[in-house]
Amino acid sequence: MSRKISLTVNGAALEAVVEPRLTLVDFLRDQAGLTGTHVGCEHGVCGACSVLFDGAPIRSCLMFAVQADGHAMTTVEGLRDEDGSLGVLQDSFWETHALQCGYCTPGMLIAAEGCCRAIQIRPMRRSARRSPVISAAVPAMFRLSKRSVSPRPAGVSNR
Amino acid sequence: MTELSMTGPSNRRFVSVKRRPKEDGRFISGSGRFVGDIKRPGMLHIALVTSPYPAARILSIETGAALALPGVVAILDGAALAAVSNPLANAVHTPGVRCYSLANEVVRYVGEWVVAVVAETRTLAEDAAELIEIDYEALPFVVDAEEALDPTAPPVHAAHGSNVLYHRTFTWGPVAEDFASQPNQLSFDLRWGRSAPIPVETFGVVAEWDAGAEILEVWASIQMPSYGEQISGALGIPFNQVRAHYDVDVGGSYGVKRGIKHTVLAGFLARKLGRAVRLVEDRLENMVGGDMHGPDREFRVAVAFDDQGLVRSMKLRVREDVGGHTGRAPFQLGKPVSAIVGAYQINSVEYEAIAVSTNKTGQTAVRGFGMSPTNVAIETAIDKWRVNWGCRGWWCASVISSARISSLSDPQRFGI
Ligand code: FES
Repeated sequence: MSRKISLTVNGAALEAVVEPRLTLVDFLRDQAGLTGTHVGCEHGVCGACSVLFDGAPIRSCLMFAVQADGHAMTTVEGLRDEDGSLGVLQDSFWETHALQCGYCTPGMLIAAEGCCRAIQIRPMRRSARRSPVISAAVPAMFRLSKRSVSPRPAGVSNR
Repeated sequence: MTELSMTGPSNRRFVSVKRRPKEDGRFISGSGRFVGDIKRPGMLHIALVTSPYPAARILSIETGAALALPGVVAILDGAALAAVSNPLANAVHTPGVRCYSLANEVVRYVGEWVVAVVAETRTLAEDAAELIEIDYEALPFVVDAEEALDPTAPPVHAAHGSNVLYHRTFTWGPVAEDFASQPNQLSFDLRWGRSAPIPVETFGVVAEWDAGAEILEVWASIQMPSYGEQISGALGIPFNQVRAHYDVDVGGSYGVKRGIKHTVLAGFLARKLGRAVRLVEDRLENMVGGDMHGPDREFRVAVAFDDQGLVRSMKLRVREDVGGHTGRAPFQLGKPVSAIVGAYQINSVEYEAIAVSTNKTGQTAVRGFGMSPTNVAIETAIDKWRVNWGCRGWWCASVISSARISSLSDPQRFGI
């Protein structure tokens, strides 16, 4: 019953044999060893398990690993820059302490990354890191995205 | 007197200094270590068969087909567990009430764990759990606490003889005299509804028995004190034979991450089987049988005020719907005893606490161990009193807050 799949995860080619009923998140965590992606609700409502699937965020608890055959995934482990340092979004989350327990944070990061890509904000240059600008990076990205979708109610602060 | 020197923020190490929280580094890089990330060599997995009835007698459990499935290592039921372990502690004297990780003889709520299946993977354990056949004889049940108080109501814990698990009246000061001397009184009923906090990470535990050192190693998503004591008490081993690893990241809790029944079950199986055993709730197990409901209370409040609107005396009667397992619920009625007047200075108080069993999910220490409902009762009394005296409209809030301030305890009583 098991099937062979080939996919790209965080830029690396992977081959695996999986049961058709194995969810993508269980595959990533248990077979690919990428435990940064977490399972929350297990039914597609919380987003903790989000990964980029061919560049767009999806909830990996709602997909089977066999459906990922031939596609490219990015997980939180793949958000670092090429030189291995933290990606600008990761750095912004840290700078602004954009988390509490940290469990869903990988999903938040993937959603923010997907959001930036969708509205074509280029992640800020590395040279901008650790400047005051960084602390406003994520809110700024979200503000921009909001403006393009719907106007803010009058009188609501942007902060 | 020493003069306060005004130093700039840069002279301080923590206050007003921009700092990055240390733990964030691992969370934003995906390298946190939650219980679901912990792997031990040869680790086995538990899946659970749960009760579809609010009350039923367990007639038979057929496990043959499940045991025959390749990869299934063991199957445990409540009778076998109860024979070799102690009931879970509830910190209140409740004769005849014996709760274990798995239901023994009868089930008391929908979702109660009945059988544990241990297999090489969680998937196999779930496959095997589906093959287990349990015969039940449905029994009458009760889900309303007021009805449960009726002596003819179905008994949730028959051996206890009544659904009242705890009933005690505490009196501080001359309550009867204060009520008799204050003509300004009001009384009302208040309901604090059951809540079910849902952490984004379900509860999970990995247990391993170190046969050489004779120590039970436990990694769990916990944030509670006296964890090791309660595990050792139920398993009948000394406290110093339980080593809880407190360095596991916890994905949210709201006070519900206690996991005693989970850990006793996993710990028992790990020791018996000589292999590491993991039990991570799936979302369904968490929501139905995770025993993480909060207080469910009905208050009757009476307050006597003097002519300045200051509270002289208060009577609180509270009826707690504990559910089918004792958990923390009867004990949590005790916390208000240490803070029964809230922030106020009240001359006398009567507090009558009643804990009642019903065929509902059990409770745990949600948000502050049961104090919040009592605070709501006290604050509601203050609000109602002011409104009763014609304090309506926009200025009401400021009058209420001044009543609060004037009723507040003298700071010197706190030694400030
Ligand atoms: S785990 Fe919640 S959406 Fe997938």
